[in-house]
Amino acid sequence: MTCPDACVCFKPALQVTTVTEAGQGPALAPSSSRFLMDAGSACALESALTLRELGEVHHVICISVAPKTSDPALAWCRAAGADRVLRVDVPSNANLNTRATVALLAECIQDTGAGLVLTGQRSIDESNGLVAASLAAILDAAYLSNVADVQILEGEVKISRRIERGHRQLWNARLPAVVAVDPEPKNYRYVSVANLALAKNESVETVAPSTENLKLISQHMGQTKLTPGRVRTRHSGLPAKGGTATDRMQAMMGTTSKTVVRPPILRGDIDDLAERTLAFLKDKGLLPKSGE
Amino acid sequence: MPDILVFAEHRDGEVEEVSLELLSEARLINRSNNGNVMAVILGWGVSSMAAELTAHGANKVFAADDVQLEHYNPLIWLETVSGLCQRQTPDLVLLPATTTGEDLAARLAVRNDWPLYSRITKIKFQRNGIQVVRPVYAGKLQETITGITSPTCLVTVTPGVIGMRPAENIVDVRLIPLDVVRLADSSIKVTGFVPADPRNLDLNEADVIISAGRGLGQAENVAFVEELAQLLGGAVAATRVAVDLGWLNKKSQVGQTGTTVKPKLYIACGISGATQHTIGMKESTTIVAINTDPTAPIFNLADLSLNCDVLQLLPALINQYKNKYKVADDLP
Repeated sequence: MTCPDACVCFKPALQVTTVTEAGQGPALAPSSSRFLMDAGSACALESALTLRELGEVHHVICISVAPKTSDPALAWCRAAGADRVLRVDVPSNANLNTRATVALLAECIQDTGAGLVLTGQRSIDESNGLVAASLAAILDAAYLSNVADVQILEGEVKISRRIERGHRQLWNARLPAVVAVDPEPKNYRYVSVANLALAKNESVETVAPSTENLKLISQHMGQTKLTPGRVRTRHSGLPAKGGTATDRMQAMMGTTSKTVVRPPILRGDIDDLAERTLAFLKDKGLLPKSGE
Repeated sequence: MPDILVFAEHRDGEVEEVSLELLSEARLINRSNNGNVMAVILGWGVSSMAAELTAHGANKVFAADDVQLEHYNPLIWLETVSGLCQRQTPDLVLLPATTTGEDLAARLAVRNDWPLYSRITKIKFQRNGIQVVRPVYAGKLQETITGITSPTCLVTVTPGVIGMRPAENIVDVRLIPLDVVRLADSSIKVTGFVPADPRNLDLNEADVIISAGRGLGQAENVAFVEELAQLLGGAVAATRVAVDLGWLNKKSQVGQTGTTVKPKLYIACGISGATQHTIGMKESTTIVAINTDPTAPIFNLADLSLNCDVLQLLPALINQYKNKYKVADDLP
């Protein structure tokens, strides 16, 4: 069985450091135009490079849909160890919606003939997490999400996917497959400044998109408006007696005017304390279901 | 009159709180619009959860109850839910922004060519279509999308963002059994489920954390903390001092130079509560502190303060738990 090539698809993330008032109306627009590799894409590249080192894939090809100004971010991929870096060239003011991103990427992936496609989970489109699933549909490939570990054995992809509360699910799929890599924990290799400087001196291969796909760039569903972000509080669980631990800490340091009642300190017979602790945990619903 | 379908998730025999949040939100939207709120739940032994879903706002509960659905299988789930959506034609499908909810939402969107808006914080029905609000650029900006007029729109909501409203008195539970779609050949095979190992659980993922401090005295006593963590299905953490002493590895360290955690339960065993530690755990929902020093600062944060020797209390707690809940000695 020959090793497939792996494609890592990504869109460099626009770094927003400050926001300023836009020319028309109250909408705000990102003021910065610096592109970076986001953690999800970096983790996807790390998975591809690890597979190459294990001999499970042949070449690692990075494909991006981005304007020329994102070339420094693409140099990072080359410095990390990618065999080829391709950029599907789009205008700098292009509105890259999911549909356009998928069409442009799919066209390029089909040309490379790669059997395994890796992306970061929710890193490549308008944070919808839809590109990987859409790519899989176009490429007639299996879509595997939230992947923590990936292996290729005898033409099959074996993955372990991270689900809530630390559990894992194991899935197998035949190649071709599109794998969306979970960006947590952010374990990817360090790229030295020297390698990065060398990579920046090499030009990035560019691919011109087809006219048909270019038309998709301007299409957008609904109207969007940007406003400053809000800090939202989490509503979960019951508030602890006497306020939250933060309230009590602030009260202790004298930085709040809230009246905080400190629960009494319990002491006495050990068995009695153990019993009261279990009763407290049961009341709060904190004992495992199997135990109740 | 919009119809809303909520995909309900469950774990360990209970409906996930986020599903009830979604039903509460759907109920609120439809209070002014007079539409239907439907819930769909898939799994094994899930029919009994219909009453809770109804109490939180579902007019109808579609339940696919089958042993084949014990664990999430993307293609069977997709076929079953997609078929239901096509029959019921809801205007809005709400899913939790969890690994299952997001995977299913993406598949439904691609299969049916419906728009998907992820991790939104607000939904509104307007005359010109649906309006959604979501954070973008790592929360620095909020994006408001208006005029969504697709016949069916998919939306995922981050757990804990909307908030749950109290349950109402149930008038009538309308449980409608849902047939599971059998697939002759599946391109994805679900080959296993690996339950979380409390000893290797990532601290950020743990709902329960039992933390070891200098008060444990020596490395051997960390075994009590590990045993309690195993019984309560939690992870083991440590203070910087315990890590520096080599009792636990650096990965377990909570605090300023370690991990910041927000579990539902944090049990501090022999921890005094130095600021560099408490800064990493003070957002825990419930804190239980065990310390011999009644003036220890950790007691200022604790919901339950126990002034006793941790080395006496932990074995007593473990024994009582095992006796009370009939846990075998070799099993968590």
